Amino acid sequence: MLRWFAATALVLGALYATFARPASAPEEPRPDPGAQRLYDLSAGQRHAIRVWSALAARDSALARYSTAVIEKGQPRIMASGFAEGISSPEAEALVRQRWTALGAPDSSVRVLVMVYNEAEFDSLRSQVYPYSGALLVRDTANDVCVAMTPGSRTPRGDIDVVSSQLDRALAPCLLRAAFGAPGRGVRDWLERTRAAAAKSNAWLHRHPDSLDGSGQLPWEPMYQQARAGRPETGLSSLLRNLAAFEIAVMTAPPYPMGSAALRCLEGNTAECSRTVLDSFPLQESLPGDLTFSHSWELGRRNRPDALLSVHPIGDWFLSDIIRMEGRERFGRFWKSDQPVEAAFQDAFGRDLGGWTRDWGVRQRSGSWEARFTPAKPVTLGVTLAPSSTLLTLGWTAAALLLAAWTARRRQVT
Amino acid sequence: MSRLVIGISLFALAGPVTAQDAAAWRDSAYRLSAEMQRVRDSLRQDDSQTEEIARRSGLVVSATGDYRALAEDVLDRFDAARRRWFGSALPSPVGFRITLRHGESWSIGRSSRPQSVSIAGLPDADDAFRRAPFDAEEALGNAGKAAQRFLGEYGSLMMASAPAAIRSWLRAGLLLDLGVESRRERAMYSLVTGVGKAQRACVQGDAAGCAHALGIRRSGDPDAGGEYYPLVRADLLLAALEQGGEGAWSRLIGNAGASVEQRLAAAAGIPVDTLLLRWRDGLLALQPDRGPLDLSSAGLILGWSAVILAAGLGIARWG
Repeated sequence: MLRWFAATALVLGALYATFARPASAPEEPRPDPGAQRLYDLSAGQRHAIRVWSALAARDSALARYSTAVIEKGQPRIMASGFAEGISSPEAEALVRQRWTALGAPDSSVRVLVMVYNEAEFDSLRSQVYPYSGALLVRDTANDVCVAMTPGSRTPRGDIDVVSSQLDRALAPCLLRAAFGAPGRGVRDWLERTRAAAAKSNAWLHRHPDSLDGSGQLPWEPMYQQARAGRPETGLSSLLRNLAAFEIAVMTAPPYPMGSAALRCLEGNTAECSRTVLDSFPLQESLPGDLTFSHSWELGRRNRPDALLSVHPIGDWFLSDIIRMEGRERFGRFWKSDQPVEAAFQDAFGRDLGGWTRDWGVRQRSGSWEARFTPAKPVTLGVTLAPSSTLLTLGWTAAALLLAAWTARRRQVT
Repeated sequence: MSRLVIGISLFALAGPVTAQDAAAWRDSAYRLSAEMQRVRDSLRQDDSQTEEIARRSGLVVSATGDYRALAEDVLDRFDAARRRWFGSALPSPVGFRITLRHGESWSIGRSSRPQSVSIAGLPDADDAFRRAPFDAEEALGNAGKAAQRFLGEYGSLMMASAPAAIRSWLRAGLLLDLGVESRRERAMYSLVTGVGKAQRACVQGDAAGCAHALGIRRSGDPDAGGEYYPLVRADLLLAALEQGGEGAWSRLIGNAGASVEQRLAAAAGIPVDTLLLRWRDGLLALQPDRGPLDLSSAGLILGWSAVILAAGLGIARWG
């Protein structure tokens, strides 16, 4: 308790001594109310367009599917909202390539790929990417998976799509096509998390030893670390000039992944399991049968609870399980009716939390930020030896004395 | 048959999601877009109305929106500062116009709140000198900053009308963007820290050394060494203009064919060696009379070190 009082007094004293100095910094300008109003309206409009595009695509997919002829084991590619007879060679090539890599698909799963016209959503000139994802429907005679992505008419007369978007939308459908309908445990988990971990098809073409994720953090960051206010004034200007912010961000624990992920990396395997199993609060605006989009697409970023909540695990997580454990064992896991943790233990002979921690450490070590941190994947808590206190204060005093002595000896003329 | 069953099932499943209606969200998106357009138009209408705020001795200041409140203060500060060096001289007989502007934000759509403040020198004819740089909002945040920016642009306009000999000698312009104190302090440090033979002689009070180190008059000594930075030349020129008072600028740019030395002497109204020594004395008087580290700063450094160490030693702990 005494230490708390001493520390508080020290901090308050230092703050008072710093800010009570005569040189006053200019007042921070207040945000312009008109511009702020525009910003708020723009955020609301973009959110509305994203939800609108997702719901409209879903409605269109449901209508199309009821009338389409889809052969078993073969995906059907359809264009929606375009003139009759127009196709997307790019989408067809990608789907064909993925299907070839799949080998023998499970014939009980029906897959529709729908490219819908994004022109309607572009009419408001909001520069928003319309929804791209999968519609997963259960309790039907056969499992239904519809991969949906926006497309636009090109001057050549065909349809242009963003291949990476389509690939992500396809991923949940390809898993079903390869391994069949999931067992009850995995199915429930995928629904809870909106298949957040099933957005990569790298298991079809990448070597098991290669690191997937393109250097991203293993748990999705849900807020950005940024300087508050304007950097041009007073103390904030000093901090900027010292690059203190950048140094702090690069050397600090990766807070944007959330506290559960940090504890997982530190060795708490129960937290690791939680990051896989716990669903993130569902987006109320969207039906539960649509897959999860990036959090930034649906306004989940920078929420007050972002640090404490469980963040979606890297969307290549399931793909990595297949690459590292093999298709056969993954197939057992996928089809199991047991809860995910038990199914994982049965299929791979390992605890889900332990496996996830190893995966997270490997991913973290390969991330861009890890280049600026020590060998440990994450370091939390005290790292300073008590003896360093006296040493640091002593050296600081020595440096001050040396500087003062040197300055006194300097002659100008 | 199975397709029909699936289709019916899918539509049945879609039914309960009544609150998740695409049409409702589309209407919401359009409503928000219309509201955005209304707010944007309102802001633009307010900002696009440039209004004349004040007139002073041949100068007119106009502003939009937020700058109307501080425009008069900007004009007074600008006029006082320019008279210090240029008197009532203008960069051109037909006047000038300097407009500082900012306010295009892509984060909220198209250009949203363009703001501007301008100062014109009458008669401000169509062929008057004009400058309209684009500034960050912070650069015009208060009357002092805005006046300083105007002064910098005004110096550029004045130099555009100066003889080639002066422009060539000055190299980097008048640098009026810098505040007076900042410029003089930098000039002082350049003066006293120069290591060339002529530079050291200048510090010791040798006018010939100063003339060489400032590129005004060459010394015959092959070991005389280098010259001062362009900022030091600008400081000398401004000192000459200040010394000469009203009419100094006209004398500086008059007399076609005169050398830089002759022009400086004419502007200051005194021999150039006298000008150099007075200028040198003025700079040396700016030398600090105490060390860079005082007791309160040392205490602050030690205090903060202790705070950081205390924090690192485990006041709080994760997990």
